[in-house]
Amino acid sequence: MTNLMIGVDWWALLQVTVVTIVASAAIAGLMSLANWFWTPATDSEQPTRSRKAVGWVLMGVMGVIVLGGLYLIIPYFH
Amino acid sequence: MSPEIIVPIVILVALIFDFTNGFHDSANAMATSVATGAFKPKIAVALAAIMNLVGAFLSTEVAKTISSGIVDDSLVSPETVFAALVGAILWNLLTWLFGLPSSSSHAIFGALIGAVLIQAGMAGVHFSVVTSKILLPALVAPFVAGVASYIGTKIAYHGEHNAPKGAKRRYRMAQRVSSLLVALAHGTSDGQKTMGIITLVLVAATLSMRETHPGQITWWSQEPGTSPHWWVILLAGLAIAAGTYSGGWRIMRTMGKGMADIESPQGFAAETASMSAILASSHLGFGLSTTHVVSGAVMGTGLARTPGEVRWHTAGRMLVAWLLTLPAAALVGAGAAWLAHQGAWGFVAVLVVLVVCALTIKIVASRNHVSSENVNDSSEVKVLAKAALTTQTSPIPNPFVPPLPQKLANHPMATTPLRLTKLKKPKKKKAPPKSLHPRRPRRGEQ
Repeated sequence: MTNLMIGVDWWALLQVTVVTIVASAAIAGLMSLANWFWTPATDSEQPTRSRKAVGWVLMGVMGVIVLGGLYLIIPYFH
Repeated sequence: MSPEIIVPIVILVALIFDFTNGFHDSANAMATSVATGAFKPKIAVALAAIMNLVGAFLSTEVAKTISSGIVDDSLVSPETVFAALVGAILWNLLTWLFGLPSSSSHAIFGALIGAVLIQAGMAGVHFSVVTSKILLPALVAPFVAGVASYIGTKIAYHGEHNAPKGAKRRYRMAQRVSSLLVALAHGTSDGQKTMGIITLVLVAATLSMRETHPGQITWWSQEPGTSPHWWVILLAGLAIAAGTYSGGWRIMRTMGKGMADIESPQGFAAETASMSAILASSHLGFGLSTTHVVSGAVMGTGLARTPGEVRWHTAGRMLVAWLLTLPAAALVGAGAAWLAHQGAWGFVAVLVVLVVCALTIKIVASRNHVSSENVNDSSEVKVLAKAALTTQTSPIPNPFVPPLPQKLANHPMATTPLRLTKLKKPKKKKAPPKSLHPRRPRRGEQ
């Protein structure tokens, strides 16, 4: 049994676990926060221009995270 | 058999496996999007096919080391690969029939292990690598993706600002992007498997031919350690894209509707968790099965919003399929390898068995056809339930009751065999209470 476990890359396993949880929580959090900025306090009014801009900035950050992930898996870019 | 005959046949069978891999795994990227209505079914599979094709061209690193050290590559012959492919195709078709999302990678590796065990014995299989690259990731993948998806869903449903119609529309848009990225990642990893398998066959056949005909070079000759031929990359990419476009609707139903009823924010959270897990594992060289990742993510998102509505029965069936994939594919691979190594007749016999089994599965599946039109109509994939359904819906006519007139025959009440629930009486609208101080009528109202 010990021999079978020798080849396991535990460090890679830990990294995958942490990166997956942190990245998906960050993306969901950014999306949720962007929604908060885009949603007006009451139904009757519109979100202000600054709130809209912050929402778009958050969406941009989210896009950068996703593009970073894609960059990492494509060896052509390295 | 001569390499000139066996190589084209094995390439063809490898492309068929790639096709089954495509339709088996198209649900991984698109099931949640189809279930939530973010994409129409046909558009979803068309886009997934394009992304898979693009993904297949992005990298060929995995293709160079297809067996990943699981078996001793020097012991692999074209017959062994052929047997492994047959085992994997049959397992893929069988799990598709039952609508069970199982890993195509595990199927091919399991079948390869079985075939090598028959050919070279226990020495041919590296069991420590099997543990580290197959068994452990199979345990870890659903758990990691499930936890990530659970947290993502909790965040997405936190606060009232995510409830309005505008927010749901934005989540739907984000879900579209995330599902396309999962399809791309799938093409990058799974598209290369078939390239690797074909390359493995070409290298083995080249080495074998060199012994019998030194100096002879054919259109398919390939040296060990070289990248796949351009036509291999193209054919593998097209085969997986075609398979994806054909749509594994049975598996898509299980994945999208069978485990939990999900909404757009949940679909977004599940796809994001899947994408993060696939990208992180691909970069760090810790291969996770896309099927296991997405299944775990869907379970996680279901648990986060409506824990009571997760269908554990379906999850249990899926778990059994996962556990059986490796040994079952190994068993079929071993049987096929034994037969294929008996000579030309054995090789042909394996081909005949493959065709007969595939046709039988197709005929059985057509009895309860699941397509793009009815994929969201139910959460269950039935295999042998049609006969029972037919007898239930065709009651024996009562000779003592006169037939209904044509006008009433098509009425819903006439076609309903028995109504068990009480009909509710329509509620009468309450008249507004009479005010103690009636308003004085205005001028002109009287």
